[in-house]
Amino acid sequence: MPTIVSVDDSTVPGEGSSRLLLLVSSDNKHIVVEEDIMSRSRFISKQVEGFEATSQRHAILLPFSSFVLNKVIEYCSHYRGYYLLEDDPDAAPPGRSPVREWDQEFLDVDRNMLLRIIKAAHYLEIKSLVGSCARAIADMIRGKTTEEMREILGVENDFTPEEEHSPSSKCTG
Amino acid sequence: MSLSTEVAVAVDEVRSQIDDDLRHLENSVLSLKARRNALAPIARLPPEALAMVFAFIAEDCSWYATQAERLAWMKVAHVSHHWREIALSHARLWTRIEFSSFLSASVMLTRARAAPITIDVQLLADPYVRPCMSIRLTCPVNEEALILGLQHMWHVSQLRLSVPRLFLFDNLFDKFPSSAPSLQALSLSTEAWDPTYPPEIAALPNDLFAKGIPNLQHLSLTNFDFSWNSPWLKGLRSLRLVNLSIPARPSMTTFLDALESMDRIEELFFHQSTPISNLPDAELQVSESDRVVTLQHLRAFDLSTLGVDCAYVTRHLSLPQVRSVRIDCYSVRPDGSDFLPILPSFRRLAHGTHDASPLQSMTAVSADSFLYVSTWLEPDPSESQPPRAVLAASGSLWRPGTDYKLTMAAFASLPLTDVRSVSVQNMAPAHLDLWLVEGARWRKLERLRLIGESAQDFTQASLVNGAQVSDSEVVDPQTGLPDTSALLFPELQSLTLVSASLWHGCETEELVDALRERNDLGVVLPELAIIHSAVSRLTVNRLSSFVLDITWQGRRPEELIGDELAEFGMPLWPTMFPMPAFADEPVFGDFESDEDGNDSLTEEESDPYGDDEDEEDSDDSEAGIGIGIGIGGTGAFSDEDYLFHGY
Repeated sequence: MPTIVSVDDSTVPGEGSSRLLLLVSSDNKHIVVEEDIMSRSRFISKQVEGFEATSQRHAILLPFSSFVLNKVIEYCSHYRGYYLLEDDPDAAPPGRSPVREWDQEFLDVDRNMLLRIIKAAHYLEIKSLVGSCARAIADMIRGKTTEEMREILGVENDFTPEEEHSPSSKCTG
Repeated sequence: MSLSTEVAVAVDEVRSQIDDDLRHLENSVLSLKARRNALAPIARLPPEALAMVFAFIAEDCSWYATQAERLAWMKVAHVSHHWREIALSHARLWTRIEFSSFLSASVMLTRARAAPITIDVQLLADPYVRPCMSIRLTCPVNEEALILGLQHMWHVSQLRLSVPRLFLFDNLFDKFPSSAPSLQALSLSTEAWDPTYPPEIAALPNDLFAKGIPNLQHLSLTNFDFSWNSPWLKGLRSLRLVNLSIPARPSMTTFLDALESMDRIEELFFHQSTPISNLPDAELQVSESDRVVTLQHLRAFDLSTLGVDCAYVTRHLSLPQVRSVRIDCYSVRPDGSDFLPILPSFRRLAHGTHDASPLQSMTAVSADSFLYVSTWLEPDPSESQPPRAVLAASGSLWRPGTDYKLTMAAFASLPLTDVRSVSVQNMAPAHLDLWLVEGARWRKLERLRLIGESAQDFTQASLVNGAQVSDSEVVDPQTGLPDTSALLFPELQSLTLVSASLWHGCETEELVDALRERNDLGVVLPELAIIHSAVSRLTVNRLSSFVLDITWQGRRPEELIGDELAEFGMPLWPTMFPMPAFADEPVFGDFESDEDGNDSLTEEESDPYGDDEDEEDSDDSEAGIGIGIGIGGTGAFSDEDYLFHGY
């Protein structure tokens, strides 16, 4: 669970009308961000709901590095004020998530970074980002053979020969 | 026991021991691999996220994919134990049931558990092959599997059946249960086995889902007659009806009653399914005595039928929140007068006070038997951006010039004073009014694209207009030049000519003169693009004297890539259009590519009309007058690039 601490007003410079949040990454970097930007994160929103509307800033400790956190903040900043159906808790889940061009460029990162971002997005409950990352990973392995998928994502074949070749183990018989 | 027997027993024991050791080692290896997998970065993903990855792979399959392609996503379950566990434990992954075999359907239905499932069966007919054969080959569906799926109707959320008429009444509807408590989207479609035949319209059984579809939100029926008193209507968010038989077309009262009952409706799509008018034209206009139904939540409205019937329907509708309107009229009168009554209603629906901005861009195409006008709220819509309003009309009996007359009427009916980008294609020639009258309203126009014959009229009108402005006695006191307030498109920043008919010397001269005149009046055209138009290099050189930036691309339309014309979306070029007569040989001889891939003309072929009377012009270009020579792409247009799917 993240630790939430209230930070005295004087510790963090404030700007703008939106409340400020202090996000602390696992490598102990302090990142100040406007609450509006992070409102896309249901996790953050739920934390903030508990705060009173005071002039105090609120710090949230997060279990991922500042590098990953900055990427997530970049995503949230880009879509600040945008309505994304996937992030609407009241909307029905979209049947087919849209492909957003900006997201594709944003997620043009190496495989490990992509996995870190999706994990962070999942932790922060940013469904649109989880969806975009999942699509990017799916794009990596779509159309590949099972062996190629293993190779791309560093997974070993841990089936016994019997499990692998038994008709009952096949998904569709 | 003999010695040899003892040795044999000992060997067997050792071999057995070795087998045990091997099994032990294999298990150890598998155990280590599993542990290694647990440490792989992908394994640290939460199962829900990994399941979402699988879902993206699964949903990527189009409905016409082969069976192997549809099932390919399941390979993820063969990667590792962990992946298989996730795949099998997420019921949602198995909800798009595969009906190509009974086993696949039954396994997927089991794994889907109680999750909402989708039954999507589209049997295709191919007119070029025996229908029975083609249907089975194109999209094999195991009948028993389908019946098994229908038995799971209690958790079917989407049901789409598209079946050729030939197979429809093979007791298929008898297999439907009487209720569908989870069904949210129902789509039923039947076509003649040969798509080139007129549609055969069937009737839905009266007792279909007799016990109700309480959660139905989306209903689509193609070639099915339908009762307008159906309890299915209430609660619908979208309704799509295509082709009702004449007896099944509702009266206006029934139609409006039905619409009023749909208080949540957001999308309506009616093609040949609305009330038929027997009123004279004069009575088709909105009158105060009309009953008007207001659909508060309607966002998208699509209507296609006879022109008078379009007018008859729309005059009874108020759509205060509509975001997308498409009206497609059929005209059966030679003068096209049965199209005109729709214009007041279209004007009302095409733009409203709820729209965030005025209409800022437009594409217009016309030919002998049709016209097509689409508008956007945005100034430079992308190719994929849906128009705010589309008005189309077609009339096989139209007299020559009718399309132009009706297009002018359509323009006049629309609020185009804020339009900033316009693309006009193949307007019939010699109609200067388009530019002198209607064009004069487009004072804010910044980008204009002319395709085909439209360029001729534009240059002539620009000449006439330029001369009028030049001759004006009113002078701007600041510049001392004639007052240019009456000049066509004073804000024009970019002019693009595509496949312009400028291959006659006089037409080329008109273009040069029109732009020179504009330049003389102090209104410089910043950008000119000439694409696939038979214009010589010399002409381009001359134009460069009074246009800041010229792009000249010499390739044919089928060699264009989309991005080149993306500012207005893809050009409309239905194959039925009279294409400019591109011969196999380029008009001005072979294009050659230089080292950079740029197209150029060989010197001796650059001026077939002898308009290079001034050799110095040509020399000037060599001396460095800035001309951007573009490079055509290698992509080809496909039918899908056209906006005329419906024709």
